[in-house]
Amino acid sequence: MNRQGLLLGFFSTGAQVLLLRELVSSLNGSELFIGTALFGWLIAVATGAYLGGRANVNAKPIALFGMGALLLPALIIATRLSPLLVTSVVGEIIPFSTAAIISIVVTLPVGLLSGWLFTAILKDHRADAGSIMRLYFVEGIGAGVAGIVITLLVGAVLSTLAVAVTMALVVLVGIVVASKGWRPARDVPIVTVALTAVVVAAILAPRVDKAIDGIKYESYQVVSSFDTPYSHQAILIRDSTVVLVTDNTIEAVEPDLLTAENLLLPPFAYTPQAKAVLVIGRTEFGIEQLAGKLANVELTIVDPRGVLFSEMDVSSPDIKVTRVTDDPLAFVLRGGSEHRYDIIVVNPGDFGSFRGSRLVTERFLNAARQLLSPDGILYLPTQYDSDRYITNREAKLLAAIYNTLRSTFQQVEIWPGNMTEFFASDAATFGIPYDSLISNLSKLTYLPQYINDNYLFDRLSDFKKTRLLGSVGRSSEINSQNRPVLTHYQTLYRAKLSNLDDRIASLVLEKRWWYVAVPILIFALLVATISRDRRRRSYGLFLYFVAGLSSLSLEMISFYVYQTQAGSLYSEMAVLIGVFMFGLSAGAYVTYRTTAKHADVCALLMLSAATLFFAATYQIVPTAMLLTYHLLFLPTVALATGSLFAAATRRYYELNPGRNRGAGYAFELVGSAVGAILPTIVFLPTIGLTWLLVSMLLILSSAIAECLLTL
Amino acid sequence: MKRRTFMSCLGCGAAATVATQTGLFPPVINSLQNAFALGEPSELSSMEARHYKKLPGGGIECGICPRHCQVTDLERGYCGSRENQGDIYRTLVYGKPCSLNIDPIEKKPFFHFYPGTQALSLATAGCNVNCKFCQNWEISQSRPEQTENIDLSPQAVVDLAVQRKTPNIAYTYSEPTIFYEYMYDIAEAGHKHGLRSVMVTGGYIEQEPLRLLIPHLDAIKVDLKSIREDYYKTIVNGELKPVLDRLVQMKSSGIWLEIVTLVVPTLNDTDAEFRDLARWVKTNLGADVPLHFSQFYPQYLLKNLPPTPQVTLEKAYAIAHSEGMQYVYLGNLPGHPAESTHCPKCNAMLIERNGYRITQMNLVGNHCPKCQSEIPGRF
Repeated sequence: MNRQGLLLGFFSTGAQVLLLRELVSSLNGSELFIGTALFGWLIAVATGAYLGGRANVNAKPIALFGMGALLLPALIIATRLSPLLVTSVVGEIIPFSTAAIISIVVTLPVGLLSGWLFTAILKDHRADAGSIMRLYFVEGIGAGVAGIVITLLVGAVLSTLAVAVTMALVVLVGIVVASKGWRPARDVPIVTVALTAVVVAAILAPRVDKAIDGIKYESYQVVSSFDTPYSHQAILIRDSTVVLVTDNTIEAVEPDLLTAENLLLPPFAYTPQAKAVLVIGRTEFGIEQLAGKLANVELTIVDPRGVLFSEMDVSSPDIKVTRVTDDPLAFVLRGGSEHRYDIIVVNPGDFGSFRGSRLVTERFLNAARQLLSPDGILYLPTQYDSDRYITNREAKLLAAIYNTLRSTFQQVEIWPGNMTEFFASDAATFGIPYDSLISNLSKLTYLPQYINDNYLFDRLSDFKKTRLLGSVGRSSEINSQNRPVLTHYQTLYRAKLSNLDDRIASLVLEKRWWYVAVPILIFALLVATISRDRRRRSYGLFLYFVAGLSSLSLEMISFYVYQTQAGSLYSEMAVLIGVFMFGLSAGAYVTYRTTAKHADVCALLMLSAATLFFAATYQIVPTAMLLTYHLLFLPTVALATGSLFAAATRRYYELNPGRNRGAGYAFELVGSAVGAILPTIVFLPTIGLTWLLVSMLLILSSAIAECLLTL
Repeated sequence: MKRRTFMSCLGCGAAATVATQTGLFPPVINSLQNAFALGEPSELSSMEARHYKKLPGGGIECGICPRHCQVTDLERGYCGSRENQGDIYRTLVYGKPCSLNIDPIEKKPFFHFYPGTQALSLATAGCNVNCKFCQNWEISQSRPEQTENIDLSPQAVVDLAVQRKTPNIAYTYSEPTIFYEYMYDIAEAGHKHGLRSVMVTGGYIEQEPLRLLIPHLDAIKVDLKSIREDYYKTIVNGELKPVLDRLVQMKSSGIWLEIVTLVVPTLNDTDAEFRDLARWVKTNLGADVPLHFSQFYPQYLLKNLPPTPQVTLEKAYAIAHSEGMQYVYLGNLPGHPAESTHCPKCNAMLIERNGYRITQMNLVGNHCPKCQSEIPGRF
């Protein structure tokens, strides 16, 4: 049973993580769907466990493992192709509501199997209550192993698909060995065949990746398709145009002079003598080509995906480019060097991902400011069109960017247009008349095609500038890691693309009166479960709810903080989930094995202490220590919540031995669902991280109160 | 006091104290205050719409565009800007523009209509189609209560144009057909003050409303989005045939007409499609109708499609020329020869453009200075 449990943890968590990564990659890199996918996963596991637990259902673990092994690579391919099913033409975006449904549907089959396998293994071994906890514990060990293996392999060594095939083979071989015992005469050939298959998969997977992208981007020639530790990339060609696709979204196009000029030239209108230019954020290959035409300009490009530059032959012979393979935040925070830049171009891309919005925070901007020369300009081009009108939702986005820049720099200027562009500086650089701007641009050794008088007379008309300034003056909100309003407003802005999304987003994110109901309902649940008037006591049910809520909430918060500080969760998600699962099972197992009476209070105190410690320290963790910090925080939380789960079981069922065995699990599931969706998607941009953590502490305190009151 | 009650009171009291004393709670309070303030409908127009009929069994049928929406009480048509209120069809956007700008006429684009002049440009919320590539989706796919509207009567629009010295008024950005009454009244009032009116439309309008409107307009630019019916069905959510019929109607009315086709990679960029389009225009409208091919940029639902490559546009240009179209233009390629007007007979440079600027104006009246050929348009 132990070996099967180990394999279950390995398969279950491995599959979950691979599917989550594939979903993030296929759904435009948005982390919003991690929450919905985890929600779907929880429901699926619970349903699977319920189905498997029914007396008349007897499925052999070996059959279920086999099914799972075959399903996993198929689901990875299905996830990658899912945009084709829900869109009618190439390049069409997927509405949020559809993406959320995809994220749930994709995780369902493996989730169901994982839950089913748990009960099937127990049935197969006619396990008693003690064995359940032991199985849970070894499953956790398997989960931890899967997390570490995937983090080490995917992107760095193998593609997601190759890892999925490898995992499937490991599971198939593993289950044969685990079920029948090791027999060298039989198993050595099996292992040899499996290893050969892994090698073949590793060789063939890139071709399959390419073929899948060929189906997705019909009419384009797919030059290459590959994973990095940060994202899935595809390079396409059509009509002599090279297109870089990142996580199913177009990141850069070459040639695209209009975009390239907009991304590089506007700050030169204020500082035509600029030489040292630093480019941060979204990749744009045209910048390099263009900078080569500007005399004496030295370009430094920071991108964590160094491999991109070797994959795309875009280097310009006319310019010396320094490429830094590093995360932008880490790069600017390190600062220190004597080198100062005349212009820093921050191209955050889409704020729908925390990857972009974290580049428009006081922390980042303050660090970037240290790298600027005294009269240097930080330039931030956006994708928002303010040329003909500015809608309410767009105004909120633009205002948040403007205010965040204003909170750091003394001078901020904006250009309206199809791309609204922000300039920030500590020097009085911007108060120059229109004619001087045009004159400065005409001094450049490259004659701009778009950033010149032929367009700017219209773009920078008083009418448009006044309207834009009026729009950004309507709000005083600032984007920060504590309160990422940009992602929130971008979600609202994008929701307008679909009527259903718009209705849901308006209801959930704009009409906030219902937020008050959440604490009221939690408090009502607390009161109901400790009520003495009830005929049957429900002590423990609130603890189940809190275990679910706190585990998923703190896991999602940790993911968010990691993502905003490290830049990407894509690779590390596996190891973080793996150690979390291990912590959960270890906490539950240890508590089950001990006879301590106040395990629930201890677990809650441990959770509170961890939350408090996290709240006090998450901002000061050095970049190099980020992973270690979260690898310590998450298992601590998981250990405590696992322990709380076991303690709640003891508290509830010892008092009520005849009660429905699913009641506690149901409460935990409700708590988990709330924790997966509400805190980071809804409350984080509304009340901020600090208050979110304070709220968690209040809920934990309520649970401690329950324990003390119902001793 | 019982222990349980005491704990509850203590918890509530502590939370309340923290909320009021720390100063950390205002974000919550503010956001809730904002939330309660949201959702108030802005004041909309209640002007009775034109071109509809009451149905015998109740409800009305709109006749402004080929959709012929049948609308029951308190429902709206597809465009979202016209509502049945007690079997009286009302336009909700009359005098309520959500966008107002002064644009160069070249930006519409009109290349043969008073080059170098400016147009007071306006739009209201709503549209009668739903193009997946719409550049103005934020207003065209909104209902009027979702946009910030300005109160501006037709006379106020005319006054503004006079005050700003813009000789043209352009109905643009979203689909002007859906604010027909407003456009009609502005155009009528504008003519009294010597102001010209230009309509930038998808051409998805019924024959009769167009016939009545044309006398008050001076030029029309039609977005002929494709020459394929299935493109109109899948990408535009409209129909091609009524658009082609209206183009013929416009041309035969004598109003100045220009055509723009947005070239969207992979969707309408084949040689065969460029050829069919040019042939249809030449056969049905004439070789002298200016035909613009413009560049797609990722917008709205097609955010994951790259911009149209220049070579594709040049291919469209070459094919249209080879089919005999005399005035073919490529949009948004500054400095490109296809941005300028050349004499179809002697190839002399007539109007040189760069961006939205006219950098050379060689026309003499409406004649080529070299070969004296008459150049069609309003100059």
